[in-house]
Amino acid sequence: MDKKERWELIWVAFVIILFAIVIAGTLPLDFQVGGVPSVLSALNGVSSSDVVNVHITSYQYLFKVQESGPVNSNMMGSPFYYNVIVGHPGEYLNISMTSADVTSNFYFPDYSDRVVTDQIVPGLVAYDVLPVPNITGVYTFLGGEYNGPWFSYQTGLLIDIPSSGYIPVSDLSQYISQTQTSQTSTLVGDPYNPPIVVQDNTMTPSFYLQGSKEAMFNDSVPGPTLVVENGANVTISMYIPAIASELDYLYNYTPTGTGYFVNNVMVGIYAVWWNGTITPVAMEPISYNTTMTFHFTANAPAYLYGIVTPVYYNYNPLDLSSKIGPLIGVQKGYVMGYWGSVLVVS
Amino acid sequence: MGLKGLIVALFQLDKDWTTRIVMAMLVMGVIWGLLGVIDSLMVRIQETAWGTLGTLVMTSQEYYGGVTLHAERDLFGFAQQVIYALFIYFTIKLLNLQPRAKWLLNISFIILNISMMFMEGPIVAYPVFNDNYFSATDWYYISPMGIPGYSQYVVSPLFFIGWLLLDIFTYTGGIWIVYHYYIASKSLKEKLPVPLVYFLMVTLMFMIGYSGVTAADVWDLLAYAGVVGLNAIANQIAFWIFGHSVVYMAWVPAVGALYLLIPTLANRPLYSDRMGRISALLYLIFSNNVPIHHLYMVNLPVAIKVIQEVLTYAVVIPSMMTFLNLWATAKGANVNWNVITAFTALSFTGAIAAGVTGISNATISIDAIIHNTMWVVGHFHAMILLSIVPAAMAVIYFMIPMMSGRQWYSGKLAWLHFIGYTLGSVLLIIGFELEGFYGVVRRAEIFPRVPGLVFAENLATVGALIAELATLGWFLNLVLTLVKGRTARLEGLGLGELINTVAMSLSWESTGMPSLSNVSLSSRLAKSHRKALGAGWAIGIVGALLIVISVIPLALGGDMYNTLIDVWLLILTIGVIMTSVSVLKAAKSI
Repeated sequence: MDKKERWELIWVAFVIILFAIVIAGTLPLDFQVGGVPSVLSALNGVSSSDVVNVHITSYQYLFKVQESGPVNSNMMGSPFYYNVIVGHPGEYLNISMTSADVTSNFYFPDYSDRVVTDQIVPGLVAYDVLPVPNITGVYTFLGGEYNGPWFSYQTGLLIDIPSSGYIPVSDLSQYISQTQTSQTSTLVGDPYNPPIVVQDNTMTPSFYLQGSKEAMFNDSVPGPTLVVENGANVTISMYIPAIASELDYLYNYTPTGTGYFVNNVMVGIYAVWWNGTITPVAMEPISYNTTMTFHFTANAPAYLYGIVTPVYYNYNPLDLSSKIGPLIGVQKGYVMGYWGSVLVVS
Repeated sequence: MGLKGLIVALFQLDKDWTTRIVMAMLVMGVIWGLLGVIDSLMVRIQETAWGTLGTLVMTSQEYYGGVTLHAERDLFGFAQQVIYALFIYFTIKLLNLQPRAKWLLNISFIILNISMMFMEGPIVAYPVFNDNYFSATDWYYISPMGIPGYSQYVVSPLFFIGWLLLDIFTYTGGIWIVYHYYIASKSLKEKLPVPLVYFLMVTLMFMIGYSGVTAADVWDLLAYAGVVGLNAIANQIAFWIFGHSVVYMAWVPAVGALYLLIPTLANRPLYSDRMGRISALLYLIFSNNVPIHHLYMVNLPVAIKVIQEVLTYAVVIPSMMTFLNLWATAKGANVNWNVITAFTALSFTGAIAAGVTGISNATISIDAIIHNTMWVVGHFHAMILLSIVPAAMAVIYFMIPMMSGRQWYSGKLAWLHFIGYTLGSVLLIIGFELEGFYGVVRRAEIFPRVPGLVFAENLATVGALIAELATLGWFLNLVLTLVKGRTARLEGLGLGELINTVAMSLSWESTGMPSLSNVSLSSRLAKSHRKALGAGWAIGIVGALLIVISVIPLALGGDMYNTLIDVWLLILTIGVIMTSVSVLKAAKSI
């Protein structure tokens, strides 16, 4: 071996030692990430009364969520939520995930607390444990793996409310501060949290939500998070324009390829109660190009607004998908865009 | 110059048939490359419009079609086609061979370019124009997306057929190249020079790496037709054998180019010839058996993930050996500053900068934070834009005069190309990696319209525009060179002399360049021809069969919590080692 090769080998040995240190140092973490069953060891020693069992079924482009334990999912009589998880500070979400169609991902990017990212592959079950953040608020989770053209709409909210009472003002301040910081600095907070609109200094707050051709309120999916005072008489106005756009999931197609605006959906306000039950507060059939106004008294710790159930979309202009048939492809899926949440503070 | 003259100049129709086919591949590669650049521009416009104005200016299908086609066209239509073209050209010219099997090369060329058209999917022209059915399935179509019965988003079967045609091109074109190395090995008395070792090794890497995606493509098409069912995770693992290896297929040619250019431009022998050859072997062995590091966040056994982490780190070793080898070669050399040197230096430094982010991605616990984010996109764009493309440009800057016999039309345009391209690419990558640090997922058409993120998006768009304008400058220079370039007197020069002669014309200071040694191998070829297939080549074929057989335990692996996944990895690795060692040895590479 000549001198040159000796230097090469010393250099390689140095690199191998560095890698060995990294592999050994990070090995324990390998069992705590990536959807493997061993992540459940994080629940060791946790009281079962603090564990919410959450099963997520991923669809194109929707998370269907079922919860049991301290929180029982019950949305207007159905045992499922759509794009929503409910939890209380101090609880642990014991999450299992499966896919109903293609490969998806559950991504919870709370960089100030816990980042979770798990691939949901058809035929496999993914597991994770997510401590509910100690600061109450709403935290966005989303599908992190592209699964079709409505991919960006597969976003949901972890509604983190106290197990009783309302969101403390101190929590709200921290939640706002953390969210705002994440919008100008990297690797802090959940950058995907919707914009926050606060009107907690009045007992008659009034909000106006503007729809767009992209089928969302105020350029955000979910729409902005509204904050009101407990007991306030709240007015929320929503305007959904009728724009015949391929960007609007409410502009659908009949089996014969004629475009139409979906009219069999309800727009409304829905109370999210402490035990996870979601009940309707005010609803009406969708009216396009008209301001729909809803009034309610803020008695629940949180609310959902808008269209809170998915629309089954089928892109089929001029019946191309049938006429040209298998050669051209099919674009279907469950989409939610016009929705958001309200937080109630005291 | 009339139209006929233009076509003759552009396609070099007055040259030998190898040069003609290579030139056709380069022209088609550039066309696909520019189309892919337009796709990427659509993506940038959509994201900037959303961030800045809160509006989408294209449909989601067009946007995602743009993402997919940008990858397909730039990675395969451009990069793979150009890489193959370079290998074909240098294999024949440097080995001083009489090329054979013209029909095979012609068919390969046609198949590749048809595959690019198929991947695009259908365009509806009647009764109204509709491009919302372009394939938009990721460039790697994570199984089972796009397959009827499994996915609600079904793409045209043309997409999968296009992939299969790409596989066929890889093997027919690859067989053509390896066949010529085989012919050369019969008469070669000395070892191949390191750059040619790399060209052969990367061709083998293509052929081994494509085994996984070929299996996945066949499976997808059969599932599409309803003939067989799909196991999504097995299909994904098979695909990622290729999906990771393609990174090296694209990058290691750049390494080969650096092994050629750095000693040449520094006017020094390679610091360690032996370590250069060992690096080539290690690249080949460790590039094709690490698919699961792309699937760290899937519920697969932790043990197999850790093994993959170790194997992934192992592929860093030849890179580290290469960096030291090339750095030590150039250290203290009096290198003249010209466009070829500039692109070579950018490729070398860019590989280090971009490679570091790759090491972090390979670590399971770090992947748990950055998985699927724009950080990953920033990493591979850094590899492509700061290392792979600059090396390709360094080669093309001397290869075009070598092929056409004409000097570059404008040295100033060449320098504007380098400066604009470098500046734009760096801005683009900083923008992408900032987005990643914000936790933004890749392919985020709609993202939070917050100040930091909008800045990062716009930074990336400005960078892309600058780099693309600079590349258009290069394209203009290329066409003008082929049509109007001054005659270059390069006949009879060895490759080293030729590179430096061309480099002199592109020098910043127009100073003279040192003479270089002739690396032409014509004198090294002996006249003896043996007919029998050597043991090394035979073992290589057995290794290739093992690689094919390795798909069986993978397909039967179910949820992979069993020994079949270990059996798969073992058979695959043995196959890769047998093929790598024996073929490289038989071709007098190591």
